[in-house]
Amino acid sequence: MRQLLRGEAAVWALLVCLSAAMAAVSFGYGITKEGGQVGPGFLPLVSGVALALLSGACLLRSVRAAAEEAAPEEEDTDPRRVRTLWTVFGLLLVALLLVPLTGFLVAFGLLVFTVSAFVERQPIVSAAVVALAATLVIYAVFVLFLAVPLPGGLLGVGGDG
Amino acid sequence: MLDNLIMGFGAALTPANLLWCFVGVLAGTVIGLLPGLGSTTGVAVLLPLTLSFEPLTALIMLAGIYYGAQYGGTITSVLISTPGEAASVVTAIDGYQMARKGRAGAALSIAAIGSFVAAIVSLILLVAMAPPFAKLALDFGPPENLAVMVLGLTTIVSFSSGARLRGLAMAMLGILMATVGVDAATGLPRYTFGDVDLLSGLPFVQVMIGLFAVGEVLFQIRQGAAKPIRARFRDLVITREELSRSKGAIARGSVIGYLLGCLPGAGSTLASFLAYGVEKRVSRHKDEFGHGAIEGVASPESANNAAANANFVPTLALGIPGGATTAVLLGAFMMYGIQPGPLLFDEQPELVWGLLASFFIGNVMLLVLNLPMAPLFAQLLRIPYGYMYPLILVTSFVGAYSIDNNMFSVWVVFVFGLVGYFMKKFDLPMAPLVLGLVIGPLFEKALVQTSAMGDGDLTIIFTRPIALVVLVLAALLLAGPSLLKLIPRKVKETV
Repeated sequence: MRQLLRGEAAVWALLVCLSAAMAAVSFGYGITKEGGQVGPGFLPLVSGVALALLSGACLLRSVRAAAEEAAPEEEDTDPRRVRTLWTVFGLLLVALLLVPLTGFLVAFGLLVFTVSAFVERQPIVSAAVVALAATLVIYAVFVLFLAVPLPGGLLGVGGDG
Repeated sequence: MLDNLIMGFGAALTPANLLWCFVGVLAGTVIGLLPGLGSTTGVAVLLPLTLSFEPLTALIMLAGIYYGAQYGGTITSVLISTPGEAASVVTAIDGYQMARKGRAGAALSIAAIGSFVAAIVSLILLVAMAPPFAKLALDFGPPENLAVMVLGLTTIVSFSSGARLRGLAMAMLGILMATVGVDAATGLPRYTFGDVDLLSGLPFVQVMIGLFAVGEVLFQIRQGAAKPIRARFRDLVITREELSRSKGAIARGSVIGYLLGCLPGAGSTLASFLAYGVEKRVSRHKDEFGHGAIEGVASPESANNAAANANFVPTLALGIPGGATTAVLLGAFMMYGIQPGPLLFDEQPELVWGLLASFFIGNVMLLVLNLPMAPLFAQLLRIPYGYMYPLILVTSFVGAYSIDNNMFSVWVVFVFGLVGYFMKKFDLPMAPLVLGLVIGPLFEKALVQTSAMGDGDLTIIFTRPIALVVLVLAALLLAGPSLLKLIPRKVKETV
């Protein structure tokens, strides 16, 4: 059961719920208009129902496949790489949450440095040089050249055009 | 047509367009060879940079990235057996084996030559075929457009990696996602839950950046980077025997690639797989396939380049994308206020013919770049991935922000990055989802108009001959493989 919840079946189950909910909501938009013509809810209903059925079929297949497996398949990926993946994902989230505080450039510059130096264990000086160079290039291209008003955050560093 | 082509070359040969064409093909080559990045990602991530450009210049650069990535994807396929591009997956089979035997240079050379020949052949066909195709499409009404879009979806689903059921589910998900936002016909907001940012729908380019760039990078982090085989300049020379064995493969690959590329939704990945399969059947060196046959590199590489160019036939003439990358390019056209379709050739001849002419120029640039420089490009693979992927992530997020200058875009990339990772992890095909998302609004428009034409009766579509033929073709594509499986069983029963 634990394996099922972590595997492909969980994705299909999620899609069944999502599409069924979207199909149910579509009735509120009106499936047909006057004269029986296609209304704003028609396509969401049809595609929602179709997706629910298809996902349901895929869910059944993956549950059956999981049940037929005598022993759980060994993960062919190095567990350290999986940990690295989720660490990077977590750091991305932290960088996004930091944007209102530190600004875009500082938050993402720190992300490059942290990932290179501490997650991927590259030499700290090189990681710092790469992060600084990347930040400067992004500043030059996006802020100076393209006049993109990157959020400066509370620090107001290199942002807002 | 010759006048149009001369006008096109006139537009494409301006210093600015030449420069951006070169930047596009160079960036495309680099993007194509980096594991975790492909042409779709490259076009999506670099699209924001072109927003201040003239539309023709921007499209020349973005198209350059597209076909440049086809060349670049080969380098990783051959040297580390990790395709940078889905269309180069099949090249890895024999290309990597050639590299292990010390013939990496020859594999890269024949891939560059085959790609160039195929590109030029397919471009000549594209230039000849697209305008009459567009003229034919002028007679298309909403039912015909609806039928062609159904064909596009069924084509991409039929040839999705893995089961068709999963492909169909992803296409439906794409269409469902496309219904988020204000309904164009009635102005009614759908699935916005009061969020102003969602009124104009899920931002397409940001979704693509999330799915392709962030999702792919996260997946590559999980996989870990492979060590490249060294390619040397002196290995680039092809022997006379290798060249003579490749000639037929290049010709067959070019034709297969072009024909499949013309189908809306088929894309270049399918073309490369099919060309490889055909070559394996007709080759005199069948037993060498899988162990380093040069035909196994020449044929799929020619096919994927021919298909990449042919993908522009449905994209430009019908406004229906040929594959995932042309779907993003279609989004780019719309961002510049240009509506591809049958009228485009009459309304914006300079743009269309300038773009087509730039393909010739870009492919010459690519041959000059790739023949002597492939080993140099390959050095990029030696940069530690630990530096590379944080930079890709930052570029993706800042690129997404710059499209609408809001943090909503960035969060969309983050969420769809996670979605993209799980799609890769569970081998769910992305191309049907992308096509569904892009053609969703066009599909709904055609559906509403068809319904209005038939006073609510959608079966009007079956009374239109062209639409009917297209729908039958779509049904055959979807049901064909299953029907073919049934035939031998029946034969067995009767014997």
